[in-house]
Amino acid sequence: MDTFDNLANGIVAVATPMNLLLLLAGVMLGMIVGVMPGLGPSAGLAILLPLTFTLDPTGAVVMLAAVYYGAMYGGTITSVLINTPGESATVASTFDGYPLAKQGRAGPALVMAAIGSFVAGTIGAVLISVASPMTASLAATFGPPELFLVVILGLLTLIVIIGGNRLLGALSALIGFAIATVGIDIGTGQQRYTFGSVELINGIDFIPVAIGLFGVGEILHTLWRGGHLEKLAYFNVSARSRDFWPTGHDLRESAGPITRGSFLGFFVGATPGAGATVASLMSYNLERSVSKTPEKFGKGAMPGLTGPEAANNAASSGAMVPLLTLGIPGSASTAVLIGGFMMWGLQPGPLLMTQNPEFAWGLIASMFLGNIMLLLVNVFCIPAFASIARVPFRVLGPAIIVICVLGTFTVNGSIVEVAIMLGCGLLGFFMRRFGFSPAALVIALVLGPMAEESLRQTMIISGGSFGIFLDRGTSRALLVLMVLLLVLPLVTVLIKRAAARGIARYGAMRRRRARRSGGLPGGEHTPPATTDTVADSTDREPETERVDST
Amino acid sequence: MKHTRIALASAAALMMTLSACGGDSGGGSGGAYPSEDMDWTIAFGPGGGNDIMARTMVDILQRNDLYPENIRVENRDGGSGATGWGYLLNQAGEGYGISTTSGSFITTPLQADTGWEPTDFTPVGLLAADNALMIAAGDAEFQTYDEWVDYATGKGSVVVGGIGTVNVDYIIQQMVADAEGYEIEYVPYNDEGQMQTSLLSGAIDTMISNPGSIMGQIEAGQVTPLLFTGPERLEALPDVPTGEENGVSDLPSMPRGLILPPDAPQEAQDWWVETMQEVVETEEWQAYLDENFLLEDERWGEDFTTYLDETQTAFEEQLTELGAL
Amino acid sequence: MNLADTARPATRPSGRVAGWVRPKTVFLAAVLVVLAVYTEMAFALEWRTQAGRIGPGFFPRVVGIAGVALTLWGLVAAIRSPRDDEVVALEDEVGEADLGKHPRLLAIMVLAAGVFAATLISLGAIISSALFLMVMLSLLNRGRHVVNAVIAIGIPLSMYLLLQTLLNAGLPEGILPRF
Repeated sequence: MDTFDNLANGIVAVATPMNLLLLLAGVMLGMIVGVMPGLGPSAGLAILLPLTFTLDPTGAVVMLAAVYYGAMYGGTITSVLINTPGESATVASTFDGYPLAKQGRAGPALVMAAIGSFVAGTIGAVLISVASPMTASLAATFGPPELFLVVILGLLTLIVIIGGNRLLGALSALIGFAIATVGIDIGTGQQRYTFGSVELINGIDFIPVAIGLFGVGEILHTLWRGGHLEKLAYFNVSARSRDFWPTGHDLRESAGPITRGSFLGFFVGATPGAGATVASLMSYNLERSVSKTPEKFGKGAMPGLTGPEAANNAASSGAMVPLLTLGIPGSASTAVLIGGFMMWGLQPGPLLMTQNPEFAWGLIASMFLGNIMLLLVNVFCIPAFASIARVPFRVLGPAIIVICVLGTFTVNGSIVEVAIMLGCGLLGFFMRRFGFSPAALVIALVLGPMAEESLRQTMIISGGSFGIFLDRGTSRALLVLMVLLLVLPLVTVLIKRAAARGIARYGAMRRRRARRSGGLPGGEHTPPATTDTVADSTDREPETERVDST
Repeated sequence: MKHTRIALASAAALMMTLSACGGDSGGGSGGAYPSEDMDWTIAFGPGGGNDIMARTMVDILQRNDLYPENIRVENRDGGSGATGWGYLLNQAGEGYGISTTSGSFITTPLQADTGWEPTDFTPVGLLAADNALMIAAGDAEFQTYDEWVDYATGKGSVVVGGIGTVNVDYIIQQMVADAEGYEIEYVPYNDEGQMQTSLLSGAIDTMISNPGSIMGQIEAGQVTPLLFTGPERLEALPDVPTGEENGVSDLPSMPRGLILPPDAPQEAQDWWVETMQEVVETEEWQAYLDENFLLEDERWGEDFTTYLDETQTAFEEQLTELGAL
Repeated sequence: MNLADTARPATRPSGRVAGWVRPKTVFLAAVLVVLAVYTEMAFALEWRTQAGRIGPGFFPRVVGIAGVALTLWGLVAAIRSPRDDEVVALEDEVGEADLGKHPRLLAIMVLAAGVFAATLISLGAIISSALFLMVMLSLLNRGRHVVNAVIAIGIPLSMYLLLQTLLNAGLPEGILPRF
């Protein structure tokens, strides 16, 4: 229980009026930066890091934690409102977040995402206190073979995401893999597909591609379909403020996804490398396979947003475990944080927690308080953000293009990246029009290089033998997990079908009995109705499957 | 509170820029050398080794009022430094652009057509050398350099790691292996974090790392340093032998220096050499060197260019021999 | 210049009627060409390294060959059953008003965005984005000159103040003085 005391002390130490002000400023600033397409949490942290050098280390870390959470949430806002993920970890949030916004439910979607992030952040802070020794020893068993398997777990979600047209979806993913091979080959130092351009030797970044495919592609597609002629707003947003808040149904529906996403996210996030992106995709996959209504996913299902949101937030707590216990950065954002530590004269490493406990626990406490602050700020700000959805497209469209161009440019000051972004915008338009899957492309782009790199490293280590995957304990466990995840959807379908059949049989029996007893008594109206809908869905299920497999 | 501070800072910056602009139109070349804002390029992202060094220098310059005008620091990240130093290249002939160098300053032009060579720039000076440690996991069966050599020669072929392929890490691993007579399978990593967990998981036997980034883990006993590549033992790690002591001579190090755009005015070069000679005498600079375990290695002006040229030629030869180029 | 209105009746049929060359076939053919070149270049990279491990050409070859095969398959399918992409388009637009298709406006937007990016550095962030906004708003948001002018100047200015002045994130000032 020592750890809880530490956490409590950390919170008390951090919660001074000055620090709370920094927290507020950080959350607001982070959110504003995060809402700029292109500036995700790691870029946001990088831009705002120099501002914190004037503060004392505790104040700086408070502010940075706040910026981190603010920027992450800013990315969620753009994912939901303009279909543009700010970093690879929020790609999954666009799948159902944007459809929700288009149905006029931007407010509830943003509030539910904030609640999901808050719960996940809280669970994450508690898990850091309780589970970090265990998680750290797990993270220390991760070599290239394990990383490869985790990346493959992430890539398996492509099967779920591709949905509609399998052929074009697979082709989209292959285009993503192809784009991912641009740049210097880490294995040999050779250049691939750079055509002599210095700008391309580090490869094509996720950010311009995602902004182009999602954000600009969506704008072009809406323009082509005449969105500027819509009399009303871009989205069917109702003016009633009550509709900005989630319903009880939303909350009940999301409780499970948020809890599962938090635990999944924390442990996947603790693995250096793939972390938050894989965690959010796995959560989406998981929620779809356990959902009673998987056909709603991709068309505005609340669990499809809240699960991945919780997962990517918990993953950011998870990434703190290797940082604080091993001194190893688990993600791009924690790498920036490590740079900050060194600037403040702190030595990142396993001893950080024993030598500077007030700092380490201050960091964890600020993450926790940052979450609370974010939720509070959001209660006031979400109506304002969601009202963006009420701006007519004819104004919003060009404005988003400007923001996308400037946002992309500021990340690296590179005009080539702006050109890539706009080119991908055009590609995104055609992909949308002809039924390709932009999501599959960006996921392949993010995970493809990791898969290639870790497989090649594995093969060097093993001397070319695949037996290495069976020799190592963690890798064996991951293989088992992979098989489970592949089998789980099949099993749930079978169970669901069996259960539905049972209920239908029971309903039919009751109906027969009711008929025999001569007409239905007034109070018995509901049971037959429910049995009918169940029977209905059992009838429909094989049909949707057939559509999917063709 | 924070907002007002930022607002004040930006207001001040605005005033300065406006007054600087007013000065510009009068005639930039007329006055004594530092009469304009300095445009300081960091060719890497915030938080990295290069970034920390640059910001430490700027901090010292400003705190001691050594540079009379404003210094604008900007991270121009991309292409392993190619973008940032390419930006400096485009300021050729001017004296108000400046940048710090690191290992990539030598290796990036070797593997990509950057359009510049290290020797193209106007040198200010080499300020320090960044040496590396060969690291083993804390629970490995070898905990000293001699044990490692016994283990490696006994096994014949070992798996070792480092960052990148066209990099000093590879050269160091290969030079040590050649000198001691064992074979290596070199695993290149992109990311220090992944390499560290890889080592802890037992996937690789040793890795190369900078003292600054690994010291925390060393103190905790999580990893063990086997060999230091510098000319003398580190004060912080008196038990770790150097390559020199074990008959592996001339292990490469990373140059940490300062450059101006190509063909910068003589007065600009002179001013910076003189000023940096003052900077390296300050306590803050010494503290920076100690904290980051850098060795003082000063070569001013043309000596720096000669050093860059020699180092690059040596790297090129070694990497070509290894088949990495 | 009554573009938005004239575009509607003139271009409406082209999206629906199967013409001599259908857009999807052209797009797939373009993808095929790009992927074929990609695969061709992949064969110039080594399959294996000297040490016999996976070489730099391994992944590009696998990806390229699979990509070419899938694109060919997609092309054949698209030529055989031209109705498929209509289905996709319809599925996507369920519940949304049919406002016609606007390829000319789309082309203007793409072109304007290209000019915007090309002039970003020389003219500076504020001026080039203001010009882009003015052109696009005068086409899309007709007649509301005051609103358009306020947006066209307000958005670039506030972006510049936020990103450059406040955060020093590096936007080009171009022909305006830096502030």
